[in-house]
Amino acid sequence: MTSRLPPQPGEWIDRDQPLEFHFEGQAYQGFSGDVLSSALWANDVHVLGRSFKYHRPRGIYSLANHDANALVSVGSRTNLRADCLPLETGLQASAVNTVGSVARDRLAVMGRLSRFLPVGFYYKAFHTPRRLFPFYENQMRKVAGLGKIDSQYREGPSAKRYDFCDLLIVGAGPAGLSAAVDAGEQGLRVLLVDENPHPGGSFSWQWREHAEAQYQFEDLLHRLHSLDNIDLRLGTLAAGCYSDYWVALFDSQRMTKLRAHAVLVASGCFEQPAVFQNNDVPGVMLGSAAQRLVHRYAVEPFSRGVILGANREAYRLAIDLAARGTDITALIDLRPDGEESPTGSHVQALGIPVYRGYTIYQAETNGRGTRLTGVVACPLNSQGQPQPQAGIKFSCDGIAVSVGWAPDAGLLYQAGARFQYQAAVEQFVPHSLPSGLFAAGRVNGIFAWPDQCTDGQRAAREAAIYLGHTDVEPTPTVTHQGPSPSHPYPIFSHPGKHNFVDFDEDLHLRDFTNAHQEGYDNIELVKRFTTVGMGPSQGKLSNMNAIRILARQNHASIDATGTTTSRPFQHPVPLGKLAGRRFHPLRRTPLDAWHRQAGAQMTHAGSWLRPEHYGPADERDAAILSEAQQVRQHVGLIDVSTLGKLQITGPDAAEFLERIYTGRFHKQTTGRLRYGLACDETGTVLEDGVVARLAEDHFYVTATSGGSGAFYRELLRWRQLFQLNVQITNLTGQLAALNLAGPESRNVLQELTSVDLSGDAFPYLGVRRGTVAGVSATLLRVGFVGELGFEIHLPASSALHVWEQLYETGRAFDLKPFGVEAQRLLRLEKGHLIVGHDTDALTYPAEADLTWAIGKNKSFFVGARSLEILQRRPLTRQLVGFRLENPDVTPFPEECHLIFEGESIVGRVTSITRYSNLKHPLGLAFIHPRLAASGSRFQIRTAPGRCVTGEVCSLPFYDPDNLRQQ
Amino acid sequence: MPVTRTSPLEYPSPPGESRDVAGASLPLWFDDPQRERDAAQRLVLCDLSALPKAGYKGPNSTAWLREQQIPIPAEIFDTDALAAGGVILKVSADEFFLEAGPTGLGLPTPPSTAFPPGCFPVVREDSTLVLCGAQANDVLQQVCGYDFSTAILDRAIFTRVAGVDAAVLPISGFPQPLVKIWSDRSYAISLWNSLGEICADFGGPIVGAQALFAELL
Repeated sequence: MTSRLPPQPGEWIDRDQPLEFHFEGQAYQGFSGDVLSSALWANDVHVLGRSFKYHRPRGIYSLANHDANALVSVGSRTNLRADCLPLETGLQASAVNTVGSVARDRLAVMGRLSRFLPVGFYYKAFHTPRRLFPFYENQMRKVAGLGKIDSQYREGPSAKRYDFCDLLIVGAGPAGLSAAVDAGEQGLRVLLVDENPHPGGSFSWQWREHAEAQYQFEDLLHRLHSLDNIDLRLGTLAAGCYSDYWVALFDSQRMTKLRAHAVLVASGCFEQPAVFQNNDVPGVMLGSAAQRLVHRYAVEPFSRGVILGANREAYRLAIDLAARGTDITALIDLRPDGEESPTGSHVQALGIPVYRGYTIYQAETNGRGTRLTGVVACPLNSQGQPQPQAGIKFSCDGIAVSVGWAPDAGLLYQAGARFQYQAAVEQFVPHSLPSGLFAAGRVNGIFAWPDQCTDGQRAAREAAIYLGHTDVEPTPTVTHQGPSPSHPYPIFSHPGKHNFVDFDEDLHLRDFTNAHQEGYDNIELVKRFTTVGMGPSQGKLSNMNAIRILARQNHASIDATGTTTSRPFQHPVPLGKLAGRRFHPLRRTPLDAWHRQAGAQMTHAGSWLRPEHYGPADERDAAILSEAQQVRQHVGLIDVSTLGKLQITGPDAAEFLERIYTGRFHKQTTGRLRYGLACDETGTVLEDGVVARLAEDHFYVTATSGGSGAFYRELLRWRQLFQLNVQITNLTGQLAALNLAGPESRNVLQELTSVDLSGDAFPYLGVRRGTVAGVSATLLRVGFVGELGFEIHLPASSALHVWEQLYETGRAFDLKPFGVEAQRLLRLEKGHLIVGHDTDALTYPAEADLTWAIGKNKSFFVGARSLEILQRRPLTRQLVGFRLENPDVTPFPEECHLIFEGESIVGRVTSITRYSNLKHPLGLAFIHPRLAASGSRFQIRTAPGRCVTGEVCSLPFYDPDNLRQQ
Repeated sequence: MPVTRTSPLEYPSPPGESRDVAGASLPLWFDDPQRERDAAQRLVLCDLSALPKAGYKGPNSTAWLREQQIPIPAEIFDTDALAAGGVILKVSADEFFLEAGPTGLGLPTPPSTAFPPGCFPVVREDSTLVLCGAQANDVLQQVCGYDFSTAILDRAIFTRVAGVDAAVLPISGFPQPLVKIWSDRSYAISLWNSLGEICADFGGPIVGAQALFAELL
């Protein structure tokens, strides 16, 4: 570790815990607390990755968690940023997007082809000849992309967590810490998050040498730790802000869904690059990166360096590095007047040559571009253009760039903040913030640490007042004093085309001028055409310079040029964390365990799990037909607990039902059932079921399994609108329902109930209350499957008891359970439609032959007016029954297959079964009325060019005189 | 014939001891009574679905319940204690949910004839799951978007837990945080599995009722 410095005050590494790790197969030493980038730099490894397009060697640039050119794979995880990847014992990392090795990447040849690959080349090339496109596509897919996904990689569920606080503070730097302490002392429940593993922000790199700042830092930490109402979470990234301050936080374990009452963003700034030739070579880095290397990781960034600056920070950096023995060959200041301050004088006193009004014209490298060997600096003319003819050469192995900043404003933008460019700091600063959102510190245009602390306190107090702490004394607003910390245009042209604006996407200055020449003069269009800001760092190092370039080309102000839209997530987030532990609750009937023990094949029916049939899966068709035959010939038992079950009570219950359903209920006698058909306001069939009157003011209503939840909510809505004295209770999950059906059903049930089941005492469409196997139950005489049958509705906890008693008693009658598929077959034989299955979102009663269910001369029911209108129009389709001759036809028609007349679509299949008790396939279909007469034949298209002939039949197919269910 | 009631849940192992509560089997312990009581200090998950429940609805339900000497909570979502450890929850202005105590007692006896006009009994077969222990809130934070750290004890919160509509009641009188979660029993297995998986992440076992109510043993 030849570049490791002696111990630095406050360093993040633990020298007592040395670690061995591997990069590109080579073993190295580092320390616990290092990130991969710092540990490699300490080992003099400077080529950490390759650029996306030209495969140029790249090293540390920002060391601020967005070095998108130093992405590595570790095992099955890929595209990990080396500048925030904690070093672990045995870590085996390799660079992404290389062929061969990162040091000798064979795809570096792409750099030589760069003049053939200008921005937008893929929009213009490869279209002709068309036959070659598959070849081009194949080649491009081979070289495109970064890390390779391991499709076999599986990660366990990553738990998500909800969390809550009064005030979320993002960023634990000087402003964020001050805000947190102040808000905590005001009694707010504060959550302070920082993506770094240690608090302090710029206290830990920019102000490490400043004794007063360090004292303040220690004091803030002490006060913070003494307050129980401040939750400090390090290594936690606030990645997205949504409505009502729902903020997505990510740590190494999970995503936390935070609901904050207010949000204070003190996220700081991203230091910005200068654009000059070869500004991407390993060894060129931001000044803040150099300071992070020194103070956090005790690594020397370079031994002989040049500083390119345009602010006071560059001078502090020079002092910082010189104090550690780095030879600062020159400080090249873009500003003609340089730094007129004690800091500037300090640098001069150290003997560091300062070149005012100069820029770096180009960086010089070894042959492969992997090492920096020197720079050429030159003066700027009065227009800020470099004058290379007056260039001066300096030998160096490092360049630190400190020319300006851009706010880390993603969260603020996402939360609805509006920004304005402020010339005093040459930076966008918040102009208006929505209520409950606050900004402080560098992101707010405040750069001196004491001012940042004051600004944090100011924002915290504003937040406290917003949150109702009216006794809080407001703090005055502070503004930036002194020269601007950012240069307005640190961008310099060069004929060499290696003056990069976007390191993620290898976009150089000429790409932007070319885009502008092609008419892309809007920042959003420039983004799409050039792809600036669309790389892994999302433009953190490139967007601001791109805006400056476009503004200059348009001769417009920065404000008029504007910014691109910030969307979550503002930093890369692992997809596994987003997926998290999933909750997809399924509903199970009280007999679920019994069904599975009996060998049922379970199927999803809406949110429910139901037995499809009993027996092996590969005997499905035979089992379904056998179960159906059992019901027709003997007796079957099915669990219909999924049925919607609603209790309607109160003096206005009958009036309420009269308005909801198309039929009449005022005169329905107690102990009788009626079919209930409900429409929506447009006259569309919404729901159906039976309506049982249990008392004058008490009805019991069933609804379809899939639609009952929505129907219940619709009833609640209508109750509010009607203002009737009625109570509606959803008993769907509270009650079980069993359907005992078949010729022997009466005999089986009579042995277990005191209710007289004889036809005279309990006729078809009757309802009785009594006990079954000792359990209070409601019995309904219905015939959905077209046989004598009894639905038994009873408390869910007793369902197993009653089911087993019925099953045991039924043995003597050859009772067998049947599943939902047999039930569908039986009802199809009987011609009963299923709402939502045989109807769709446009079906009105006449189309489904349900006009018989509409009460004559009813003055009002939901949808009545629409039906009046619809009934004056000719039908365009009609639900009919049909049959096929041959059950073995292939492909066999399926539900939703289209019906054709010639080349015109005239209908579609809604239900179909291959096997039936009637020995031939049956189905229901919507069809044009001119084809709806019994005996009409039509073509069902089952595959391209393949049709099957169907024949319309009168309904019901089975027992047309309804004798069996009576 | 004796009527048996069943919980909607299936347990990973049969209970070591159970008690009959109104025809249903209430598991008292699975592993070891003392270990389960100790675990309840940290985190446990318990099924009390066997406890009988009742519901009453209608404008005269309040009057009828008062006649049965049942205390009426003052506000909607408030609860009150019933005899033998039961609880009454005011669901709306004219709807009440009642659950018996761990012995199965405490619910009013239905009238021998009919309920008075304006008072309608409602079948309640909700599942009752209980999270107890110092880490109960940690589990809730993974399944529910409600801030339980600010919840008022003995006042129900109607919310969604692991994707299931539920009423959650933080209960006072226990040395550790204890919440009852009532939900539609058709969702009980899904909810039980989700909570059980998360409890297991925290090292919290499934326990019998005696871990919460030692007097049951």
